[in-house]
Amino acid sequence: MKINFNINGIVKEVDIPPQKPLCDVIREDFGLTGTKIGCREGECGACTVIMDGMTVNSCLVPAVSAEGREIITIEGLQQFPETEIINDNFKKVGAVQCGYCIPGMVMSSYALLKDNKNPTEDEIRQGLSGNLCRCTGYKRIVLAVEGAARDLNKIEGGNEDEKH
Amino acid sequence: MKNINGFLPLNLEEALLILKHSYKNGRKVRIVAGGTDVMARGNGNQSFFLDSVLDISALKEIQEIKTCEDKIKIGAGCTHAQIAKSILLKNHASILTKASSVIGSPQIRHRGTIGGNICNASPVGDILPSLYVLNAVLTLASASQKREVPIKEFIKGPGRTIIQPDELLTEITVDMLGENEFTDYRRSATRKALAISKSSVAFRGIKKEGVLVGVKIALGSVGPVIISAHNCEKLIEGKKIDEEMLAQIPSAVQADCKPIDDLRSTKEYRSHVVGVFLAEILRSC
Ligand SMILES: Cc1cc2nc3c(=O)[nH]c(=O)nc-3n(C[C@H](O)[C@H](O)[C@H](O)COP(=O)(O)OP(=O)(O)OC[C@H]3O[C@@H](n4cnc5c(N)ncnc54)[C@H](O)[C@@H]3O)c2cc1C
Ligand code: FES
Ligand code: FES
Repeated sequence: MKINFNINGIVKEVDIPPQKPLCDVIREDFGLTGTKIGCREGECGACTVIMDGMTVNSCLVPAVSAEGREIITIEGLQQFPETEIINDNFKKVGAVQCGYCIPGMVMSSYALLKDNKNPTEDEIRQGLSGNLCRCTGYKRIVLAVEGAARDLNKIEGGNEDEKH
Repeated sequence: MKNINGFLPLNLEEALLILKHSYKNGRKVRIVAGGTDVMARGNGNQSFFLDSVLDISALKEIQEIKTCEDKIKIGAGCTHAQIAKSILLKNHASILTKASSVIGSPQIRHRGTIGGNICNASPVGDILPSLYVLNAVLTLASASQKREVPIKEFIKGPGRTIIQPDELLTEITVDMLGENEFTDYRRSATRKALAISKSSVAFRGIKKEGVLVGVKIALGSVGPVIISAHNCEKLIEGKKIDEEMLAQIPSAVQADCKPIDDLRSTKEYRSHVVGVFLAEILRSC
């Protein structure tokens, strides 16, 4: 089946089976290997991408569902200034060990901070609850997102709390 | 490798015609809504996708939530995230927003649909107990006709429903809760996120002069299908909530449900937790 993809703004028609998982399209047909594959059943979140503004497990999206939708992978996310701030905070607090979960973690952190400028620790844990990490114990990942939220608010000229 | 056809219809009529023609030509169709269940089962198992894949995620007509007289109509294609955020549902059927918000993870809720949860017909489906207490009626459409079926008659067994190969589930109609109606949904699971429930309770009742009337209780994960807990309902209906009544809950639960032992939990734990949840709900209302 011929399907039109828009991944990170690159539009391309690919002839593939309709049920091919989007994660494989991204990695094989687009050569973008930042999106990782852990479980292929929606449990680990390593394959998280943003589709039409929302995080999804790309292993559970059949190629046919992606037609005409806007997809952003971890590579495409780098064009946004927020991503650099999130990345810096992950590095600063040592939130990365083996790194396999990190592209997915950054995708979910970005989506969370877009929706909620001042997330509580609980909200961060909920926002990242679809992303598993075997290494870090999550503590530093949560710290990194808290740090990113603070830095983003500074740049945007004022903390929401102070505005009230 | 067999060639699997893919369809992405942009309106309901087109989708129903594809189903009709495929059925006539003896081609089996795998319907995909959010794909969270279909893909998890079909990854690495090509034959699961049958002869063709019909993606219904672009059908705007089945993605709306609206009121209709004293009922609420929910499109089968509404996602769990959409339901969890709906102000209309929060105000008039809050049990559904509560049940939707415990499902899977943010990623799963962004894609998984209410229609998919119903058609899966799993006894662990988190949306189902709430739909039972809200007297949900399902609209099934084919190219030639529409029919309406109460959810209880739709689900026949684990994974089994009465849907026909040329039909789509299009809409779910539920009661709008009255001002003094009280509902709650509780489930036990190993973790808060990404965990399938071990047992769950949906509760509905009206508070009237210190007692509960119109009590409806549905239990998940404690039988092959969702169970309407008539013994528990009878025990609670119109009675004062006191220690004496609460003490009788475990035996009413025993009479209502038929839990099994499996890898997620044991019979004893499942019915025990149902009793604990019911007592908690009664104490809190
Ligand atoms: C990691 C993970 C976690 C999960 N956690 C939970 C959880 O906590 N609680 C829970 O209840 N479920 C959970 N699920 C199961 C699943 O996500 C839900 O049941 C979801 O609601 C299914 O919806 P869907 O749109 O993705 O269904 P799909 O996978 O698209 O479809 C499911 C089935 O329904 C059929 N179907 C779908 N829509 C229609 C329609 N309109 N008409 C006719 N047939 C239709 C399909 O053909 C298929 O047989 C989880 C799944 C995964 C992978
Ligand atoms: S690979 Fe998609 S969630 Fe694990
Ligand atoms: S850093 Fe290794 S899985 Fe998260």
